[in-house]
Parts: sequence; C-alpha cells; structure tokens
Amino acid sequence: MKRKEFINLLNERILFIDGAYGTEFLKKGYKDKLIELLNITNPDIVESLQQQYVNAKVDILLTNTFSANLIKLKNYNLETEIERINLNAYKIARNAAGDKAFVFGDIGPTGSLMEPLGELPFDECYNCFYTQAKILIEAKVDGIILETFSEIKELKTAILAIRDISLDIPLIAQMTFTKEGISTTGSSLEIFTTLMNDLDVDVIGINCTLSSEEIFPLFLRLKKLSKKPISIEPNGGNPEIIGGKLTYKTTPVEFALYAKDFAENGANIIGGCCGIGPTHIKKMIDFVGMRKPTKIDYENRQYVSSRTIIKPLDPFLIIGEKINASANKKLQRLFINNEFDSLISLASKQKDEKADCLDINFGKEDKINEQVVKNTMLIFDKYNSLPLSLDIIDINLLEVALKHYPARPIINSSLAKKDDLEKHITLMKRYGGLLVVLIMEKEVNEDYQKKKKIVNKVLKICEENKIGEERIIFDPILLPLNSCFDYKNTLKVIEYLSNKKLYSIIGLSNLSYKIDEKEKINAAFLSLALDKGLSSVIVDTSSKITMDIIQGNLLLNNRSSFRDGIDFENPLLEILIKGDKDAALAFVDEKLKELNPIEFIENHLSKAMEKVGYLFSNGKIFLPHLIISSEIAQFILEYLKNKIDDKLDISKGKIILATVKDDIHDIGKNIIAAILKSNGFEVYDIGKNVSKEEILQKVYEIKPDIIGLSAMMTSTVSYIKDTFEFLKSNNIKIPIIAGGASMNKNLADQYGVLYAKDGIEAIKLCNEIIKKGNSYESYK
Amino acid sequence: MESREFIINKKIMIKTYIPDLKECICDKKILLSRAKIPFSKQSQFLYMNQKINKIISESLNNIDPKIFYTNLDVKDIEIDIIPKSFNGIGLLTIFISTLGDIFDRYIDNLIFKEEYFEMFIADSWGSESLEKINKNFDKKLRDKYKNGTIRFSPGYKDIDITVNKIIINEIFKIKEIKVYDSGIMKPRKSTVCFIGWFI
Repeated sequence: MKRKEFINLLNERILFIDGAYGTEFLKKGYKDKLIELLNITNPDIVESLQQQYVNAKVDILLTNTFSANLIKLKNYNLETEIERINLNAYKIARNAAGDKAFVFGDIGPTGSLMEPLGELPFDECYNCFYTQAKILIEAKVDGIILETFSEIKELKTAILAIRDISLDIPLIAQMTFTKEGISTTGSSLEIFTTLMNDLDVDVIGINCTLSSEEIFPLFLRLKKLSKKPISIEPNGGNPEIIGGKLTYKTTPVEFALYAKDFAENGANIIGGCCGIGPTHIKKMIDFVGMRKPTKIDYENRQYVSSRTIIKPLDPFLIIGEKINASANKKLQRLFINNEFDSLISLASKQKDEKADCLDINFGKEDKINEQVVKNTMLIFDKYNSLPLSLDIIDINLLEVALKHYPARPIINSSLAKKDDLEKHITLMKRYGGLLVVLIMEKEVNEDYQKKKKIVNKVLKICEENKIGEERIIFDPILLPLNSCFDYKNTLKVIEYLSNKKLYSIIGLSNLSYKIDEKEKINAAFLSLALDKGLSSVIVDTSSKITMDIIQGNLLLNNRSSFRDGIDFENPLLEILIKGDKDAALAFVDEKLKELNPIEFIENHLSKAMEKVGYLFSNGKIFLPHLIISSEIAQFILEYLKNKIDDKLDISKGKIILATVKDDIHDIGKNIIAAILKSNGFEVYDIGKNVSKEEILQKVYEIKPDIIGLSAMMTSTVSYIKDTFEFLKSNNIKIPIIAGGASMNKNLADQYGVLYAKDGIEAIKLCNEIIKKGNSYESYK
Repeated sequence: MESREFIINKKIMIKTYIPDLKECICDKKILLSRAKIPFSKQSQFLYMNQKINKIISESLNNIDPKIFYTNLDVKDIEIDIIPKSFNGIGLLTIFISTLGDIFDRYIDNLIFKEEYFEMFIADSWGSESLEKINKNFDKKLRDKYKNGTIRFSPGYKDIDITVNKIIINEIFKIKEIKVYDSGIMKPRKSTVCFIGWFI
C-alpha cells in the first residue's frame, strides 16, 4: 500500500489494529521469552491467533516481529536467523490476512539504551533498525509500525533508518508513557508529539504500559498537539494471578467503551496491547463500527525541546548567549578537549537566570570536527540540558549535531538564498526543528523594502518545500551601532514580521559590540523591539536589567499563556466539582488542624457550595457537577459528624420530598434531595407514587418545615394541586415547593404552591422560607 | 379510563426481538447532552470520563433489553389508537421496548446507596440506550418495509399516553410491564412506539 492510499483511507474511516501477541501466547502456555521464535518453530500457533484477529475484522494485522531485531536476537544467539524469522512472520501474517486486512511490519525497540544514557552508539542502533526494516519492506509489508518505544532518540533513529529504505512506506510511530505522560527516559508526551509533527511519519500514537482509562488523558493531550492522524493501543491494565492464571483486568466491554471514546474524540487507528485479545478487539469493532474519524483542531503552537525539557515559543523565547566560542579561543578549547564541566556550569547558570534555550556556537569551525560536535550533543543531553539553538555554519557539522540531538532544536541559521535555505530545509525535514533565517542575501545591511521582499521570497521557498512558516524564525540582523547601522530599520522589520504573525529573533549583544554602556543600550533597544512584537532574543541572561525588561513587557502587554476551562480559584471547589473523595478527606484533615468542624463548614464548605451554585447558575458547570459536588459535600459532612463526640447539629430545617401518585419518576427528586442534604437540610424522602393521604400521614409524623412535591408527567401534575388542597383542608399550612418536568411557575401560581426549577432555586427558596418562619402565609 | 373494544379478526402474533449489546450503546456526546452538559462544553469535562465509563459498563451489566412487536393490518384496528398523521397507512407496527426490571433495581440500589451522581448518569444513559434500541429497530423495519411514517409514541399530539394501558394490557398482554392509570410504565425505561407503513 502506498502512503497516499493509506492517508486517504485514514481520512475515510477509523481503522482497527490487532491486539496482543505475547500475552496471548502466554495464555496458551508458551512461556519462552522470545515469541518471535514461534515464526519458525510453531507458525501454526501464530497463524491461528492472527486468524482470530482477522475474524474479528481488524484492518491492520501486525507481523510477529516486535523483538526480531539484530540486537535482541543476539541475546539468544539467533542473529543469523533474523531474515528467516522476519520473512516467516510476514508470510504467516499474509496467509492469515488474505485480502481482508493489511499487514504491517511490527518493529519494537532494541532493548538497549542509546548513548549518552546507555552504551548503544547511533550507528549500531541505526543499522539494527535498517536491517530489520529492509527485510520487512522488501517482503512487501503494507506499512511499518514502531511500537512501545520509550526513548525518543531511539525512535528518531528508527524513523531515519526506515525512511532511508523507503519514502513511500506508510509509517506509524508510537511511544509508551507513564500515567504522568513521561517516558522512562524522561521525555514528555508533548516533546514526542511536537517532534513527530516534524519527522516523516504518517501517524503518531501511544501504546502499552497503561490501560484504556489511564491512557485516555494522555490521548487528549496528544490530540491537542498532533498535526497528524493519531493511533492508540492501550493495554489491559495491571495483570494479576487469579486461579493460577495471568489475568488482565480490563473486560472486553470496558475496552470497547473506551475505544468508542477514542473514536469520538479524534483517534484514527485503535487497537490493543498486552492483555487485549481477540475478544476485546471484536467487541471494540462491534461497538465502534464503521465510522469516519472525528475531525479535531489541534493547537498550532511551536515548541523547542531537549530530551526532558520543552519550551513554547509563545509568548517569548529567551535564548542564553554565553556558550559562544566565536572570538573566545578559551571556550573553544573546552569543546575540543572535551572539558565539558565548565560548559555544563555555564548552561546551568543560564538556566537559573531563566533562559528557555541555549545557543551553542563552536567558534571557528575549521578547528572543530564531527567528534567534538557529537560529544557536545551527548554531554548536553546527558546533563538534561535546556533545548539548544545550534549555531553552526558548516552543513556537515550541523547534520552531525542534529543526528545526535534527541528532540526539537533551533537550527541557527540559514541565509535567505535558495540553495542555502534548501540545504537547511532538507535537514529540518529529516531531523526536525525550527530554523532561523537571516534576512539577507548578499548585503547585510539591506533597506526595509528589500528585507520585506526577502521575507516573502523565503516564505515562498518554504511553501514549495512544504515547510510551514510557523517553523521559521526570521532574524532581521542587528549590527553594532558604531558601524553606522540604522537600528530603526530593524525595528520596522520586526514590526512587519509581527504584523504578519511571523516569528522573529535578534542577537542582542551584536548591537553594543565594542561599545561602552552595553547593558543600557541593549536594554533600551530590546524594550523598543519588544514593543514592536519581537518573539525571541539571544541574550546575556545575567543582565538583570535586560531580563526585567522582558518580564515587564510581557506583563504590560498581557502576553501570558492562554487558559481555558474553569478557573479553580479555590482547592475545595476543585475537589467538589471533580468529585475527588480522597482529596476531600486530605483537605478537611489539613484544615481541621486550625479549625473546628463548624468553622470548617462555615469558612470553607458553605462558601465552596455557594460558589458551585453560582457556577451552575452561570452555565460554567452543569447538572452532573452539581450532583457530584453535593455528594462530596455530603461525604464531608458525614465525615465531620463522625469526627467529634457530640452530635453535630447543623440541620437548617426538615423537608419531606415525594413524587405524587401514579408517578414513578424520581431521579430529579433524588438529585434535589442530595443537594438539599449537602446544604444542611434534613431530608425525608418518602418515595414515589405517594398518595396525598400518605403524605398527610408523614407530615403528622415528621413535622417538616417544607414539603417538596415532584411530578414528571402532564397526566400526574394535577396531583400536586390535589395534594395541596387536601393538606390545606386538613389545616396543614406548611409551604409546598413543586418541581418536575411538567411544572412551571404559572402552573404553580395557579395551584397555589411555590416553584423551583432546579436544585439551586430549591436551596434559595428553602433558605428564604426557613429565614421567614415556616408559615406559608408569612412567606407569601 | 374506559376500556375499548378492538375489532380484531385475525390472531395477533406477538414477536420478541432481543437487541445485541452493541445496539444498546449510545454516543457519549448524546449521553452527556442528556445529562445537561451542552455539546459545546463537553470537551472541558473529559476528566469525568473514567467515572462515566464505569457507570456505563455497570449499566450494560444491568439491562435485559427486549422488544415485543407486532404488525397489524390497519383494517383490523379501531382507528382510535392511530394518530391522524398516519392517515393512508396500510400496516401498523407497534413495538414495546424495555430495558427490564433489572435496570430499575440497579437504579434503586444506587439511590439506596445515595450514589446520586451514578444514579443520574445511569438514568440518563438508560434513556438514551432505550432510544438507541428504538432507533436501531426502527431502521431494521424501514429496511424491510421501506415507506413509512415517523416513529410515534402515545403521549404526543392526538394520542393520549393512557393508550399505553390498552397496548400493554389488552393487545400485547405483557406481564413484565405494568402500566399505571396515568399511562406511565414500569420498568421505568420502557416505551411504546408506532410506525405506519404505506403498503
């Protein structure tokens, strides 16, 4: 299958991928560690499982080759069998699939950590993936899937290897993460996604480690940032031994329900991992069915990243300038001699000074070789550096840096000439990253109009090469003031770029080169540039005045990050709305160190519940949140009552609730009961289909302050009037509040009762009634 | 309510259809909308997903969905129970769908345990599940009979809800479903539906 065909298919409908292999073979009693060996020893077992997946109607069947790479096979002295194992796997899968499913080659990680975290060199890692992928691609798999990678650099290496074999094979790239969305080697989901957006893969996904419910929040984070179709393969939860058998908790129905959620929220490919077998897959396909993928808008925001740190370009990116060996031979010698301690200290210092990114310049590049560049990249990676801006002119050295860089750097820089630009774009496409483009062709000091033309020319070249303009950062070029440089021209260009919503950058220290009063000049210019919309700067982060100006400008222009959703200004409010019982208990226990239960209720709980009511009335939260808040509030009240010896009497008043005769709808009434209880009322719910006579009996028994009646249907609403008149005829003057789908204010007025349309109105009315005394006449 | 006589010449054949589990699953967006969270706001509340999925999963374990149905030649029916908008039909399908008493007990148990959030979501889900069952069955009928009216239930327009009592007690004679004088049915998640066919 060609890539174009694959992409078209992804646009037409959601595709289903198969489930686990290892755990399924384990269930059948195959306990050997290398299940890929079954491709040779017991191909019928493999085919039988795959046939089950095909019968379940999957679209994509994977070859049983997850661990069939050179490095893993070497551990079993089976490296000479690599071709046989992979080829057989393909044949078995193709037999099982027939013309009913596509066959994708499954490639997993090497099992070893790459340099600098481990010992595995880039070349060996690359070769390992290249060898396996070549066998599968030449066997004519329909696509390749990279699964369960936990090291971002290893995944990047695998992608490079595969694309060096075929530019046309469909490629899915998946990593695995913890619940927090971090891989075991420290890369976040966001670092992964933003890099995969750049690299030549067709689908970005997550698989394994987590069950469907655990992976769901990560899926939501992934879809926010992914420009590409999304794949998701949860596993079946934590395994347990039950009755001597390895069992995974997730049932087929649970798995299928979450699969529906993934489908409804933008997934393009859904499958399963460990613990998910043919039954789960079948149920999933049953529940999800044939459907078009849901279109989702992603946040087109730009980031730079290192292995462990990600920084947005917006609202402003601060790049530390200190690791610059141009005109600093001493610094260059540190690079050449592998004396990295001082360089790491310099990096660390700039990080403390609030740099977001670090510019690395090796100085005169004829003194530097590939090994120096490689070592530098490895060391900075090892020490969890900030993202880097690679200030390298020599294109070969630049490529070495990019090869060994794990995530998404800034490539600094390219001239605006076509050939130079295209060389850098090729590297961007291969390795990822953002590109600084100097707005100059021949002359450094071009005028404003010429610079505008150059910008537009660059954008056109980028468009032709399918590079989005959001990946370009334009440098209008700052020259030293004492070189007759017109800084106002540069400001105009910055403003132009800002108006066109393009990113801009300046190397601030250039302006004051060999001038006294550096800091003041730099700071003054920076302030002007920020005002014109400058988006990033390479700067001396130890200059307090410069850093303060940046922060001040951001505050002044309100260029802070966007937040949507509810602003949880108070922790108890968040706990109530999210329905977190454990957090509720922890919060209460903390507060009870200073307050007694009554004080807690008055100072915290009542206020938080009022806020809940306010948010509900203003359409910020909705009925389910109101209900769950009431449940948690009630839970807290019960907890408080149990905490003290004396009876905690916090009852505001007694209320009888009932659904009238011939009406069995009571959901609304029960919700009102929960809300009233959580607001301190003593509620007596006497049930549904309650006759007026029964209500009267209960009134005599309980002596309530208020009666609440509910009627859902037009055929039963008149019983509210009947009940009111019956009670009145028996001299009961207790206020009646009516509610339910068929009630309204007009009807209530006609019947002679009060009306509450929802729980919040009910609370307000009840509070008013209690305040005024419980005589109906006195309330009216 | 007075009883009515039906002139029915032929024996009525009541058939039963048991929906598959997948026919009972409604879209999450519809469920949340039924639970009063507007479509436009639902993405903000995806953190509730785990709770909601748990409730759906339990609800699926607590339903016994059934459809009782019959097809009646219009000539054999007294016109009192046929809506005016069905004028011109030749055949009438009446079907009664229910999630069963087990679902009522499930809801009652949640109420007893004061798990009101779960109760609310489960109840909302039950309503949408029943609607999904009706929709799926409607589609099956339409595939068969082709040209038909909209699906209609007593309680709307010119047919009083109390007609439910006639349908359940006198035509279908279903013991599993009780109808109150008000026309309300128990189990609470039960519906009576009519579709007319122009044949």
